[in-house]
Amino acid sequence: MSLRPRLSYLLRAAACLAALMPAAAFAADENPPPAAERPSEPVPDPATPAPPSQDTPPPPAQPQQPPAEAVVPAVRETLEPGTAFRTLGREVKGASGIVVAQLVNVLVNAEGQPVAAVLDYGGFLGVGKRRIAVAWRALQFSSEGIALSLSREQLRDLPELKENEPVVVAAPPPASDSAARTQPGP
Amino acid sequence: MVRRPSDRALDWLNFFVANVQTGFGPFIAVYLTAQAWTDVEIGIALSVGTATMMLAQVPAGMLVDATPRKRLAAFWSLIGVALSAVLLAAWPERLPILASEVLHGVASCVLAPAIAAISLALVGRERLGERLGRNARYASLGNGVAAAAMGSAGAWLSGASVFWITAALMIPSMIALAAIRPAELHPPQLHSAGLAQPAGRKEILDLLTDRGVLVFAACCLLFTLANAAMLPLVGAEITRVAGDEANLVIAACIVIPQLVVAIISPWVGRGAERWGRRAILLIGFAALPVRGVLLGMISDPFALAVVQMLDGISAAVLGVLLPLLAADLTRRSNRFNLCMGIFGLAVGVGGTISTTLGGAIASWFGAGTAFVALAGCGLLAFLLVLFAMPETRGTPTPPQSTTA
Repeated sequence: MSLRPRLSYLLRAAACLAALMPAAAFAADENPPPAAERPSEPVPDPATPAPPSQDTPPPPAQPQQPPAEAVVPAVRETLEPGTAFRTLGREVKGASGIVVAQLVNVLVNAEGQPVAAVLDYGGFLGVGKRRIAVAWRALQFSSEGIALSLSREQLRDLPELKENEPVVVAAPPPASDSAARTQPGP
Repeated sequence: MVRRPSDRALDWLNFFVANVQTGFGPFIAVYLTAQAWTDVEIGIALSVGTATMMLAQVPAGMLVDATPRKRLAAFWSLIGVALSAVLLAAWPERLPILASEVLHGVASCVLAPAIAAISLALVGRERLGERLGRNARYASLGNGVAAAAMGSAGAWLSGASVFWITAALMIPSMIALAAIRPAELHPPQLHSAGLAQPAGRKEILDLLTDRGVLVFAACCLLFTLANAAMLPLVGAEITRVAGDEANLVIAACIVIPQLVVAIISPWVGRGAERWGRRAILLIGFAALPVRGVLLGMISDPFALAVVQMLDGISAAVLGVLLPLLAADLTRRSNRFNLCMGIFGLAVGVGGTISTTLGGAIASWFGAGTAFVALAGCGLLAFLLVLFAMPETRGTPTPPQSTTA
């Protein structure tokens, strides 16, 4: 077996790989921006009951549209940056600013209002995380991220989320009570 | 034993490859969740990876058997792992992630037997035990260091940074691989140099019907069936009962066994040569059910971390003895890597069933019951070794030429 050519071949290929990496790093920068910057997600907002009057152009002015079924275009609402936040997959920080969980799902009631957040809580490199539910009002949202007002001690012994069973939600205690109380979920 | 440069290089190769594989653990699920992947999507991606790894084990072993260029096989599998890490970090969309999982599965299946084959070719059969002990020591050091480094990188930088680190660690791996001198590799020559014989069907059949192979494959399956779910369950228990120190305790539960492996592996390798394979196997397999029972009884997080030291004992034994037994059992054939593939498949099947089963039992009957059930599987594995596993050590000082 020839020694030298094989060695240089290995090293050259390693060098190629090293050269490729910065290029791939640039590719990572082209990822889609966070959803918070994307305009007009359909967010249920009871405060604005769909004012259809302003921007609706008269249907006859669109000759290319079939005249029978006039399409009324959707109203465009702009959410300014910093007023609405992406939630799924986002990191949740604890009181001390350390990441304690990932938000994996949102539970809503029949009106579509969020009542609880499902979190992958705790763990190290993915080992030891637990799936729990916390009351929506235990979370604060800002451009810095999501903050959880319940401490680890308060969430101790909270049962894990199971399918087809009542959801046990950890909610902030009413005053400065001791531990987190639970309430039946939706 | 004279330390040659190639020995050192192989040490480092094991160290960096373990570094690299750490990033592909449960952290992928955290990373994909951060990319707003749903549970179902993540489950599919990870299952594709698991399925690939199981399907590729045996063919990959045959491939490494067939090629005389074990270093080249290791080289390409390192490229494959690096590419899959780059894909994960740079392009977290559905198809690239699936491609990355497939690539990583296949590459890992080639990498493990290729490193074992390089080890065998470097030191020969007589000193393989000692060499595998060193492999396990450096691999576990690599795992421990990488877990600590990547845990911090994931917490302080970004999820993707873990995979960039992974890809970057391929460069020192390549350098270590390149530093292993082909002139010092002497693969055991057998059967009139019957390398790359396509008509090896009889040998394969012989291997598949060999009692030692079958029994140890079953032992591997039962062992991982008992073992794989224990760490996740311990972690979840610690997260449940511990306070602010929970993540540190979990990190300790991951790193402590690696340290134990690093300390005792060379001793395990020498012990397997001195006292035989069975004695060492029995110690390692006995540690597993004991650990399961203790984990089921104890709830104090720090005590759990101490019990995890037992994990180090059984991990060291399996890590050293799996390739060693594969070498023992293929003395008369040229199917070392195929045998590694069979054992790897058994480990894969056991691990897959284990996490599903352990998680299900824990969620319906509690973690205590799950630990006891897992300990039961471990006890079965121990009994199988005790009553069915033959000693495979061979004659005390076998001259290499008589292996033909």
